[in-house]
Amino acid sequence: MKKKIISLLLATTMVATTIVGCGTKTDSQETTKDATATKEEVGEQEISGEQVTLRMSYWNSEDTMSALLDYLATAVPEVKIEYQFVDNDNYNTVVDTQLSAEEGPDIICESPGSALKHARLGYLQELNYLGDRYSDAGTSVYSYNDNVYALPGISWFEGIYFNKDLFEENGIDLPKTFDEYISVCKKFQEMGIKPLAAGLMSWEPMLKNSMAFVAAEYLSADGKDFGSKLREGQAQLEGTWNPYIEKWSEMISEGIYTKDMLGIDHTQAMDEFATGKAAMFCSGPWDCEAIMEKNPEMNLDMMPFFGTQASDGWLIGGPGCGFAINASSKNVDLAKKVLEALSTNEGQAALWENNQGGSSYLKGAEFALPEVYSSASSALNAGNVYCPWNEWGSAAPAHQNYGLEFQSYLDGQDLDTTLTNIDEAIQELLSK
Amino acid sequence: MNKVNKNRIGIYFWIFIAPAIVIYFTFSILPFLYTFFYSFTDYTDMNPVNLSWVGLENYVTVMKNSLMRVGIQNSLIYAILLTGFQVILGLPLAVLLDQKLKTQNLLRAIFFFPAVFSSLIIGYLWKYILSSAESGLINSLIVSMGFSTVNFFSSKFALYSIIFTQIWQWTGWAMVIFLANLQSVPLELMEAAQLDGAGSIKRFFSITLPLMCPSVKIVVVTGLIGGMKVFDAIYSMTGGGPGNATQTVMTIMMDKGISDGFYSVGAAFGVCFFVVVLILSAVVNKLMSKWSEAIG
Repeated sequence: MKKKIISLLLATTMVATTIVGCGTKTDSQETTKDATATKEEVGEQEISGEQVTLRMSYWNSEDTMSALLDYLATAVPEVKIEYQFVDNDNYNTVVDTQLSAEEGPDIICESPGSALKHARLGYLQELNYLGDRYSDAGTSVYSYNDNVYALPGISWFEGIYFNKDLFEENGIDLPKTFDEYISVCKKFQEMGIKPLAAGLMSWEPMLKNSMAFVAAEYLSADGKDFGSKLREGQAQLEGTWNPYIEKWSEMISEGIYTKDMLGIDHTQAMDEFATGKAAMFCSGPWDCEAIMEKNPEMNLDMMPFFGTQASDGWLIGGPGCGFAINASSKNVDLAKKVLEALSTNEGQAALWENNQGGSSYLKGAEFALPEVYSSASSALNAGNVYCPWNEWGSAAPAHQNYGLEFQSYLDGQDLDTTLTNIDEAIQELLSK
Repeated sequence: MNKVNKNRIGIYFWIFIAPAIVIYFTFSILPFLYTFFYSFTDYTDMNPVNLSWVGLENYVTVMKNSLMRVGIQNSLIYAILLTGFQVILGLPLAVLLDQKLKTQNLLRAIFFFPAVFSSLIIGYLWKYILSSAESGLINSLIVSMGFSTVNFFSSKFALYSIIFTQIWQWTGWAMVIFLANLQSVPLELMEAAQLDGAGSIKRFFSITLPLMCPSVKIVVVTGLIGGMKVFDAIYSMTGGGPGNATQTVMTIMMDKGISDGFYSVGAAFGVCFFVVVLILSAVVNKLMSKWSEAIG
């Protein structure tokens, strides 16, 4: 009998535990261990001392924000930021789910595409009064119906890292046009040096490389309104981009991009470059430290991408993460205080500290460009930093389809099919 | 047993089984019913609340979408080849390691060892081994012999390279299942056959193989269903690329159904996939039952 009673109790406990485990945490359960501390309920946020905890989500690790978090701790002492890192692959899914359940982070780092989506769904707080402190180039990609919904962070950019020693030792001058760039690559090939290391197992390298060429040739000239037309369903790649991609395809026909590269990932390509086996490597400031760690002796510099005409060159890039406020947050006013602190020269300096190389969109905030980007400075100074898919609106995620289709293009698929497939992906996203 | 005792057993039965039923219903049955419901709506990330009934529209989209057909085709190729090779290689390996060898236990451990690791870990490992960079293990050997590098992850070969790595990982697991079955084969039968003059090959095909039916059934059914659901090996090695060459049902469901926010189309694809797996399982079960009856 005793055994039966124990069994019954155990089974009941299991059921109760399951039900409690699946239940929602109530305020009464949020009592802290320090019973003597003064407690005051503000919304549903956890309180420790006088501070209110605000949740901030981002797809980059905490060390890329450490200086900013330290600064915010002193600038807004009544707020404690709980940093929530979510891997980029799952970021949109996690944040979308949290927002739809009205349990999203108080401060959300948004890409232009996700900011537009969340603004349309009414998830974000309008930030016009803070947006005025930033240049239009930074806020335009975070605007919807003439309202600003996110504040641009430090810009990101990608160009062509090159090994200065390899260029100087072999008497090779830096190119100024696309054709000169192809000639430089051929010279390296003749010397038995791989001109460009590329991890084409990732869909990103050819996406950025080809789009930089189209930006230089078309999107910055006759095609300035292409992005806005595309997001309205009035423009498509097939029939428009063909001549530019055909010219860019010399990167493939001249053996600079090869099919073998489809079996190499980003890290392996970076290793090839860092160890001197390749003369160039396309990437951005986020890889600079890793390259220098692998080869501290390397004389590193970055050049921009080029079009067929001589110019300052072009970099692929744009506003980095946009800082937005969850409209359902119980602490909107405190979140605004945090973004106000961010929208100062000091706040931008703290953000720049772990993102050196990029520039701030805050009016009047300027930072020195590290020497490693000196050959890209003319493109940066000319404002030739452009990310075409930022203008694609809700079709922005199709840039991944673009990269994937270009892998197939390298592997033998014809150009018309490639561009048509990308257009179909864009139309599908626009139809939502 | 009197009526009172029977009732008590009934009460205890339901009390003990209740947690399992609650968990199974909450995390399996309910999500499936929701998936089925959403497959008839216009649920997307842009329309998460005011859902409308769209009938079979999402199923038509699935049928028309060439990428989804590629996903089902790749999943089928993966499942059939992996399961086939698991049986073809695992069975003789089990018979070999059922012999009285000095290194019997060591060899069994070595062959089973890869199955201990996560497919993700194995995937990342093989990605480096098969890399077409000169630092890739196999390609560095090829280059050192004077040949040019081979791209194992091209559109043509990528899927088969992944299948090869998974055969390497899971054949040992199939071997263990076969070994357990082999040890239940009565020795008297073997001895009698030997006395009747049957050679080892004759004994294998006439006695061992028919009696292995239960373990082959387990390996084939679990292998096919698991193979159709492959995600981690693909994700770690190619991510579905190059292009869409190694996309499978699960990678497409992740990309289209979740990342791109086409929840209702993803749900319809999930229901279609459920039907495909159901039919496949029924066919395999029927074939296995016929085999059992034939040898029974």
